Amino acid sequence: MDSIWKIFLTTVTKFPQKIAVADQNSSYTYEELFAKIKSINSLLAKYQRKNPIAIFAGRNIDTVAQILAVIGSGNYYIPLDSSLPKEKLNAILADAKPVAILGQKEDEKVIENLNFQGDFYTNLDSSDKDCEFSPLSGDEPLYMVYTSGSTGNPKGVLKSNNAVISFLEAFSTLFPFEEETIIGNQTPLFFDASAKDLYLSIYNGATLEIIPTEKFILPVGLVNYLNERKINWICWVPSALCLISQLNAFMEVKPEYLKRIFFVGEAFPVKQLKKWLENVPNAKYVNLYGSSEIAGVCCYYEINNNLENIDVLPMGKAMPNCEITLRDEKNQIINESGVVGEIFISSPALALGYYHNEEQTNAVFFKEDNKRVFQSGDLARYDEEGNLCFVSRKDFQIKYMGRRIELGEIEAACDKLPEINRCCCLYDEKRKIITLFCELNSELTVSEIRNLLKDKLATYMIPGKINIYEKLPLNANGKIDRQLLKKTIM
Amino acid sequence: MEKLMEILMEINPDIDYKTEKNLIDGKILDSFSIVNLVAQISETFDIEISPKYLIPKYFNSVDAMWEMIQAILDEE
Repeated sequence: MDSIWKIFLTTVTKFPQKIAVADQNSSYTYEELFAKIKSINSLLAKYQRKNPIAIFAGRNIDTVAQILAVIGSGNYYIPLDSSLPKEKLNAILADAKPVAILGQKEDEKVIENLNFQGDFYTNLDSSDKDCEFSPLSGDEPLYMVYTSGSTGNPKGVLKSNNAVISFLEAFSTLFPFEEETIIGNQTPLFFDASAKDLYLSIYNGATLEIIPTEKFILPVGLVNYLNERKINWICWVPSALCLISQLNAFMEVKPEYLKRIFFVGEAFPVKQLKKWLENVPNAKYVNLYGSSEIAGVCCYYEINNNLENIDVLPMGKAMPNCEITLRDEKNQIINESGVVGEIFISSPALALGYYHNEEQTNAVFFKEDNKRVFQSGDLARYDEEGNLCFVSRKDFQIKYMGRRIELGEIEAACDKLPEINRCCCLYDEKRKIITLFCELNSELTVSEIRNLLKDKLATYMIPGKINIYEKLPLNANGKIDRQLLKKTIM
Repeated sequence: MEKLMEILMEINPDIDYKTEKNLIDGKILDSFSIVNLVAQISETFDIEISPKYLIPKYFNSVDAMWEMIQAILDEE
């Protein structure tokens, strides 16, 4: 099959009565979901094909209907977080120029404050259900996600139908789905990582349970919810799994149905993973590794029970649809273990590139022996068993709560504040806090700085700790001495 | 109580803890910030917070957290 839409229709025909998607309050069977999509779709018919349509994604079943309706209409969607600062949303909308935005009722206030002239829909229910579908297919785009760019300008990554399908086929062959799989979705639908949950669910005719955000505040209620909803398959960021194990919630309650536990986005501390293995011993655990520039993931590492000699979990081996090489600075392929090199990925699952940005696209995507290759910027080495092990990013990009953040973007936002002379942003790996060091030219308190940054950055990017210096230390080259500052937070 | 306030201010200085009675149910505390909060309370007051306390009732307000700390101290 060459389009996600066709895959969806096949699943609707196969499992009309099965629950497709559920949130805390409601659910749609595949048949009902299709009916809902039709009612949205007739409103989208007036747009020409191949246009971007933004979606303010909420944690509810109608967001899923909106996503599929855009796909069915022959356009591609951009999932967005409507709680992002106004400045950032405006920058994204100016870059993507969507013809319409679909959203939630509560987003009306957000729209009023944005520079957006196009159509905005919340109540999508048309009585006209006889619309025609003309979905995009093959190498045509399916969706676009915006990631953090080091310059502070938004960067849209476009993914095609073929790329996502390549991932779905490879993943479902490697980790076959059981008849009654119930996926417990943790990542917000405006994050790329959620596409795995959504499309694996549709491809395999599973049920997607959207777990309410507030369940991720306290662990006991979260595990109870997993049990109530009989969730047996999850792909979460390690922070969410650690919430349960670190606070010893297992002493009170244990997940009863979980059989497959995938984690992705950051390193899962081995100590916490051991607690999971002890308390939920019958589940299969797999560490995944991916990047926004590839659909799904490209590496996997299946955990066996013996974690004795492992300090950090390996990223493992390439997915069957990916070819991975480690290369040195001269582009020479590294095969021996222990030598650090950069990860290069070749796969039909690669993204199409960065939206309207040939220069950035060509900087990291290129052709080699007629295959497309992506230069990831991630450094890794092989262990003795030939597993890839993550070393670090080449630049100043970090993973925080499973989200990719360019420290440079935070610095760029701070530099825009006239009150800040210069600054430097570092990540305190141990305590998991983004720390800002700055030099001011006027009297400003830490909370005032924080407030000013709120208009410029997403909440999760706002530094957890701000240290004000009269003079930032400089190194011999006259640059801010990052190494010295790093020591102060170690 | 002052020490507890300090911990909370470090986690999120923008919340008016004195009046807020709905920190969990009102989704005012962030997802995942509780891990940090529990670790700091345990360390500062030298107590072990067992999972039976990890429900909204004990974290919805500063007073509730304070009562929980006192209850745990009494148990020990």
